Amino acid sequence: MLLILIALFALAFFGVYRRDKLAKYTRLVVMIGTLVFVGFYANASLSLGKIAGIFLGYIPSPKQHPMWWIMMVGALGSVVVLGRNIYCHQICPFKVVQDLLQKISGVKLRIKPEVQRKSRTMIFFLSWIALMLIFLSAHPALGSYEPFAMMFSLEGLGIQWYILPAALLGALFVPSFWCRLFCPVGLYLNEIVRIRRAVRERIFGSGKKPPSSSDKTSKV
Amino acid sequence: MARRDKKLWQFKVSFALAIAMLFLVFGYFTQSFLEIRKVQPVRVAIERVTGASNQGEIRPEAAPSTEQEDQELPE
Repeated sequence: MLLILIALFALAFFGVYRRDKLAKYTRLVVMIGTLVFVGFYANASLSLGKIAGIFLGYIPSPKQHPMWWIMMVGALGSVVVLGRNIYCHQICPFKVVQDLLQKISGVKLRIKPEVQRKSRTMIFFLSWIALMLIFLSAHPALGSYEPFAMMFSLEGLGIQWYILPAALLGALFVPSFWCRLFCPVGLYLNEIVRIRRAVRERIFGSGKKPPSSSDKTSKV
Repeated sequence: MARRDKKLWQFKVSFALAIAMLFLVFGYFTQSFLEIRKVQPVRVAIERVTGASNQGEIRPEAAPSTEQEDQELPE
């Protein structure tokens, strides 16, 4: 089982770096694999609760929970080492569900760019409340508002039963509805990518050649 | 013009969906907050905050001791 997860990450890396036809099939295999294995079989998708759990000291031993380690190392490693958010685009099973719903409906409603921009601040605010609830209660599930775990285990409490259908309904009409407007994990991973890029640019420079004097004269 | 109206309609629907989801998420937070009110440190904090707001100002030495309450509570 662990080999399947490692293979999925390896295929995801392959699919990201290649642009040929084989990469296209690889992405399809990864898509089905993550939905079935990471989603329905293992229900091991990353959530705010799991990330907050690290800060609470809930770090399982690699022998007891190797899947947790593979997911964390795979998701955070790809972001920190490679500078690419492979988890969100390839491994996240909820993204696959949203893409499937989008394919079924065929409706692609647009989001106002202003709303999209403000959603970033909103996610930070929501995740702040969620983290406060988690740290006060020392119970990661209480603040984790994502519908991932519920989607694949069909176990939830109270309002969670309404969040999941609403997220699915949104995904039916708006492409990647949850990812774009509400997902804290995606935002944090993208922020790490952004910070990594900024640090790299500061250390090694932007990598772009400064315009030479001959270029300037030719433009003039 | 028709294209612009179509765009506007799409923005409105997606915004309505986002707002509905936002209300549900806040509902979930409220539900979670009601749950964690039962947790001892949170209960004590709420008591102190409400006590401070009722008395106007609360001095540390005048604050009600929680040690006795801790002892009374079952393990």
